[in-house]
Amino acid sequence: MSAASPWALLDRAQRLCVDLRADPSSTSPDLWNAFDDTVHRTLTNLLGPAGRHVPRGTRDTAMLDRIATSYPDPIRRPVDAFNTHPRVDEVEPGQPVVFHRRLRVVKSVDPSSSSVPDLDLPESTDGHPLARLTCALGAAADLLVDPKTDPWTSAPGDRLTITARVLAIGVIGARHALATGDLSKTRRPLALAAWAENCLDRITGPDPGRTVTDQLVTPGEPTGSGLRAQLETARNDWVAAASREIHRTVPSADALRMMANMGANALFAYARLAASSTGNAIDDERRLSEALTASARDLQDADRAWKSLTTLVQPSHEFLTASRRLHTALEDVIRAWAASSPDVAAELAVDEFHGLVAEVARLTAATATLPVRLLRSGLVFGPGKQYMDSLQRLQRHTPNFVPLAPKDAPQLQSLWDRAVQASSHADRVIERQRLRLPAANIRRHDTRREPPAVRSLST
Amino acid sequence: MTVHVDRLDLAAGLLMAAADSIDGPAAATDLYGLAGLTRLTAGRISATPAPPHSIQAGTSFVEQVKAALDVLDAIDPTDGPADLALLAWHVHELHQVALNQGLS
Repeated sequence: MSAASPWALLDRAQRLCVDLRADPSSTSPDLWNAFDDTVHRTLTNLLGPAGRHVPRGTRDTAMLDRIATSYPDPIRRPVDAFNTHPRVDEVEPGQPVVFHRRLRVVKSVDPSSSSVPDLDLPESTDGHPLARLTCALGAAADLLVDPKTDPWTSAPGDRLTITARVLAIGVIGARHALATGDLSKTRRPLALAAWAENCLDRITGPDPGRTVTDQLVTPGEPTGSGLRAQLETARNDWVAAASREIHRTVPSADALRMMANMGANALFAYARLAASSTGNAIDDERRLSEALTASARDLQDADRAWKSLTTLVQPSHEFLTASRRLHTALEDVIRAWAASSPDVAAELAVDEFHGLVAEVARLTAATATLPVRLLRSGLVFGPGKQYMDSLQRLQRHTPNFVPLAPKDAPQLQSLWDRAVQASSHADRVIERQRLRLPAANIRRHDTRREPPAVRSLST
Repeated sequence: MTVHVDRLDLAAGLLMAAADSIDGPAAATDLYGLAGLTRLTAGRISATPAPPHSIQAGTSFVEQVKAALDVLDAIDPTDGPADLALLAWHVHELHQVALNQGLS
């Protein structure tokens, strides 16, 4: 591979992502636009405008087609998509097209094709790591369309692998822009990060990302502001991602653990808030705190029962990102509670924490029999050194992980049953407690009983 | 190919060990959420984590997370999985979360 090959430049771009992580330099809108456009250009040059270069009839065709055609609102359309090579049978704009003997439509004139917006592309000498990353990626994109050579003869992987590498770079650039850019211009980085992460999950996971019901239902807008809105948004995103995780053909053991962990974490925090609230009688506070802590311990036991066990399925990037955001939001609320009046923070958190506990109760109930079903199907694996006896280990090479039978993990299902009951019990305890609070502090947040807004099938 | 798989397993194993260092029956409940997040990150890197051969006594949570990040950064881009850069980013974010929670 020569130093000037697109693949070497892609390697360089990937290494520059390391510099980007630690760099606090702010990202200007111009720099972001240049990066955004370069990611789109690289993908277009890899796959062809509208996926024209995607090999037909392969296992990856549908996936690559989808990536090539679904880039979120590109700044500039690819150059050779501007009717430079019109098909012979293509109709000029403004001319009628006959679809049916009774149905005629007129092809519209696309206003965007007449002019390509100018972008302020960065120089290679620019010290900003996102600028250098953009330059490396842009140069790779240019070399991909070099008519003199076919770069694919020296490619270090197939189109899907290389596309995934570009998508991963896109997510990192977008996340950097979100962290360091103008807060009023987060729409495009957010859209690119979410889209690229979703594509990566589809590439690396065998399951479809969204179920039909996820596409039909969308949660309402956040009702509060500041910390409360942050927590509500993070919770809604996490619940949606967790629902997709548990509906995978084989759910990830790490995702199941995280659900129990999140429930226990919310209950520990709620118990601390309840213990310090000045609105309740001391006995009530103590009883509530003890009940919630006991439920949290049951969830904790269910989480720990999965220790060193795996279903050999990795959780999605989307679920990991959503879990991190929710964890950060919970920590921010707890910090605000510690720094200010406990009553203010308790009032702030009471709805959202209860909402989270209710959702964990719903999610764990939906997975109530999952551990035993996974075990009976031979889909739970444990370390070979731990689950093979010494004679077996002497007779053959010890594999790292071996499938377990239900008798190998006898407590997995019973502890999960307790976690299901504990989360449901905690939900009821909090509900009863909230009914005793003054009316001003109560805003029912029961996602199970209030149907979310329904949007049209086409969205 | 085996080389990078082993390194991914090692990075995940380091994160699992880091999570275990702040979690346990006697551990404070305020770090329990971070332990869960660390295990989830490890699970995203590899579903078959390999326990590190030895961890120096006194190695802190943050140092173990940093060690996992170093392992990922040392993998050649062409030798690792397609989403290697994003995996490293997740570990970097975890490192930041730990620092924000006052761990060192």
